[in-house]
Amino acid sequence: MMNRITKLSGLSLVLTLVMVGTALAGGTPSGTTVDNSASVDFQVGGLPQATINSNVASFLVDNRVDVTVATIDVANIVVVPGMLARVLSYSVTNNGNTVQDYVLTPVADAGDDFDASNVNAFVDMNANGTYEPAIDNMTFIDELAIDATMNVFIVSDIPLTALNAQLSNYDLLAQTGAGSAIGIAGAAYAADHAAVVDDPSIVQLVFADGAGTADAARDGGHSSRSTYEVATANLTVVKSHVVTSDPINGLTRPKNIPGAAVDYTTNLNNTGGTNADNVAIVDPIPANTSFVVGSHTVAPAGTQTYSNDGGTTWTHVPVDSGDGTDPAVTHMRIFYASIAAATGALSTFQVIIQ
Amino acid sequence: MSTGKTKLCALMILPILANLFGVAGALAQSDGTLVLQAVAEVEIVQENPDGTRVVQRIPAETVVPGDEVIYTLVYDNQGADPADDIFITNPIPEHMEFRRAAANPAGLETVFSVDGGHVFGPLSDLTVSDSAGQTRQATPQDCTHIQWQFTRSLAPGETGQVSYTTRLL
Repeated sequence: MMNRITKLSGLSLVLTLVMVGTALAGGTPSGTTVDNSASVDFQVGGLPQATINSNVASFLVDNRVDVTVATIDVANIVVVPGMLARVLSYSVTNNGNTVQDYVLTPVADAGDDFDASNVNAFVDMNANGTYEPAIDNMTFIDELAIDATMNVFIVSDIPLTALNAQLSNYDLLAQTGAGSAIGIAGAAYAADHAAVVDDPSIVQLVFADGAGTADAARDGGHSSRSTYEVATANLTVVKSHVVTSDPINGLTRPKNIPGAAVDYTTNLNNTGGTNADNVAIVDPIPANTSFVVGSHTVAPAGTQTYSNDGGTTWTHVPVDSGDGTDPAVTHMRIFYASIAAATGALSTFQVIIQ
Repeated sequence: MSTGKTKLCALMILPILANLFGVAGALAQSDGTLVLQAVAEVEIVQENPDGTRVVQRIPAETVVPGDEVIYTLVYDNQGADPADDIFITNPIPEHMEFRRAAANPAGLETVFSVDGGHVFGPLSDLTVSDSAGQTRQATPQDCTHIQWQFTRSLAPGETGQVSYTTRLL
């Protein structure tokens, strides 16, 4: 092994321990010129000659476009129909070697259960993970540095027509655009320079991105999916009746004749995934019948009120008119503060056919 | 020098010289002695319609992080006398990491430096200290310089080339 202290040509390094390879993960920034020159030392006839340097062989580092979108949500975002400004969260990372803008597009899924409304993408400008309308009002990512990440919210309203357990998927598509000037959205790159002849004097584009949930590999963009999931109450009401006695047949196969007693049952069920709150059921007393005072039972207990004016006011107190009925009662109303998911409520009352 | 070798050198020179006009930088000044030319190239693979593949070298122009660049140094003794004790030294360019060296012409040995060009030797003889003070075997990525040492003279008019592959970080 020959030790030799050589004259360093080209770019010289004076350190004794040289760190090689401490580059950005995104790679050497585009626009960097990489120069190489070598030198030769030699002797002629035993006499050392002057060192000869080579030319400088150079190339320009081009733009390797690469971006990654991922959803931050660890599970579906639970929403209730009618809610406004429900948020899906994503991160967008610049994995390339150039400062870029990103055009953001929420992409609805045609194959899911419903679409949200008033859908927008907003950048989390203060990076606190919470959508704040006054602060998070930019709709594109501006001048994202190499290896840097910004978070983005998709904000939507949930339609009242959405049903319990329905899903709505949204892909956030981020497409790479030129960094241009601060505050100005760079137009998304339509294509890279794969089909264009090399031009060593300018920075050219090479798309190196992967395929996302709503885009292809090597298209300058990436996407990821998150989901709204509806959890709401779903109330079903089933009303039934049975004649229980008549003045002639008594309890044996009674018929619906004047004087017969008929039991009405209202079966309320919450088949949804959440509580139903402030539930009010209104039962009209059928025409040509009279409400049997005290016959109303409700399980579980609700708050019962009666109307004698067609449902306008609910202050009437049923009074026995002499035959056990109060003909003045036109409607009954039961109020439940809350009916839990997968539970129900049963109410019954009796009338006499007039 | 055998006829075959001369032919080979001439064939190698022509495409490289053809590239020179596309390479940035002026030709090195010579006193009629040694001339050294540096060329940067990349390899591309072209698929023919019949499915066969051809590997081609073209000037390095569209290069992005992760790409490999092949540097070739062509030496030429344009003087009237033999040149002796020749050392060709090439710092690995900034932003590039050394990957592998090509086979040399006869009479040349390749050595490396990992300390900025002070000590040169075979890679297997070199060690580096990491930030924790631990010493370990040097790897290609640690190389700061590559050097070719001639164990023989370069005759007047004799030419040849050495080559190595790097990767853009």
